[in-house]
Amino acid sequence: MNMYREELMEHYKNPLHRGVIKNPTREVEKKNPMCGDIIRLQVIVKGNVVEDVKYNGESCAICLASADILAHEVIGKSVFEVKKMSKKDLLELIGVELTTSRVKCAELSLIALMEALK
Amino acid sequence: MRKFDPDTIRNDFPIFSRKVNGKELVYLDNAATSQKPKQVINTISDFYSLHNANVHRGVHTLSEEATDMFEKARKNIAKFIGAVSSGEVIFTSGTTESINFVARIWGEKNLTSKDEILTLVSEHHSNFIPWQQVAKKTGAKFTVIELDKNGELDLDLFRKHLSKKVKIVAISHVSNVLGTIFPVKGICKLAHEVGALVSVDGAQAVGHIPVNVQSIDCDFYSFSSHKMFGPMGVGVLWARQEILNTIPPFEYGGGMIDAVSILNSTWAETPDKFEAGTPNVSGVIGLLAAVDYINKLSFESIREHEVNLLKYLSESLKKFDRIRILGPIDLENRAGLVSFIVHGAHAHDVASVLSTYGIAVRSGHHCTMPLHTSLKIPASVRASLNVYNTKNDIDKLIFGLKEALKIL
Ligand SMILES: Cc1ncc(COP(=O)(O)O)c(C=O)c1O
Repeated sequence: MNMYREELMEHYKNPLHRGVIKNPTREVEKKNPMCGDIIRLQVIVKGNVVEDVKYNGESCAICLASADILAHEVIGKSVFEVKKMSKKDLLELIGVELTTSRVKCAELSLIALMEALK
Repeated sequence: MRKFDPDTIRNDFPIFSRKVNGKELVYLDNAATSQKPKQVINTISDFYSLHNANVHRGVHTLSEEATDMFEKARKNIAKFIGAVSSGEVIFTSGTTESINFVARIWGEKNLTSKDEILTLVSEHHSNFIPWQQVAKKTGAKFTVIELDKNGELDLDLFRKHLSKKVKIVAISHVSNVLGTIFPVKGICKLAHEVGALVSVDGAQAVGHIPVNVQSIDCDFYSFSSHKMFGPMGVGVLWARQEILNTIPPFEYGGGMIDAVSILNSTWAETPDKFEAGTPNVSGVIGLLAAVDYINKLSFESIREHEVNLLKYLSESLKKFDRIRILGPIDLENRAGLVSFIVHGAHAHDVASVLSTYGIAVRSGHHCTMPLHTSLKIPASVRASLNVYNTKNDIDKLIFGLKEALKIL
């Protein structure tokens, strides 16, 4: 049951950054066609700093919790710094062992964020 | 016929001797692919150990043995599905290739912008995209019929869609998500009245319910070996001889010719005309072993076993407030599978938690995005049954679901 550790489920059930930003700088929608996960991620960038990130979607707990953890991590950091983040960094932040198919769920928010910061 | 006993049957399937995440395997993903009995595994292994040679190519003993085994498989598979002759059985790589063959080779030759293709919203992408694309190419109209609230086809609605314009009806025998057994015989009768042909996707039917292409009276019937205890990478396209005689080859190469000169080639008779290149010989022979296995159990007892479990499964699922079952209520119209949604939990999470208990179910859109869009759900969980499943498997599933719902 490692995958559904309590801290992770907390981000899923009581998210800190799920929602909608009225006037985002960029907004990206990403899908995982294999499983039907969808994530809509919005960012506000001011003077090269990621000021806010919000996300929404009809997705599994792993995908949504990962987006919440990611948003929490990057808010307030410079775009330059955030862009250096790798999949490995994200998986470390999530801190639970994911099976191959579920890594794809976790990764979706990072892919969306990178595209939003392009 | 031996007595139908799932516990004895399980002994035929080596996979059940392994553990999954420390637990006994509860395999409920049969609609994706079935497990393989040792009779099939051994047949394939024996072929490579004792008879391996190319078919139709040599006069040496091994080649003749391989050819005899290959053609015996064709003959018995033809008999198994009630074909008129073995010349009507074409080996493909699976249902997907069979349907692409029909849509591309028959479709592109016979459809024009004056014609119409009818299909259902519940079709698997394999029986949807090939027709959608041939419609784009030929300009034919592509009409997708919705199902009623129980996931069944209203034959009156179907009748209303029929006209002289309709040239082909592409329909599944059994829906891989809803489990609906469609009235293919009635559909063929109505379609033939307006001169349309019917191509049936039998991927979820063969091995679970009796299939006889002559009694259904369809024009094309496709299925995959791996969903009926056979190996992956092989399948069948059955088509009426008269139709096969009028369509050109799918691919060109060895084994499908009559004569070749520098400027021209002529084709062999069916089925060779449609089987260019070295076929999947071990796969075909393995498929015959699977057919023999099914025949030994008999369709009647397989269906009876699956309906009994299906009743138990759907009764058990109905006890959950958070679970909604998709598809027909009348279990007589349903094959041995149940898809459901869990309110407030995503299908993947449910499946992931179940997996930690060694329980294999499918989650996602099951290659039916149009159906999931029409039902306004992103994904569902599917439990699908087979001969080796027991009530104990279902009890474990229910236990796993309770645990999953505690977390999710
Ligand atoms: C109804 C239906 N049609 C077609 C297919 C495709 O079969 P295959 O992948 O073996 O070609 C499947 C398998 O998932 C199916 O369930």
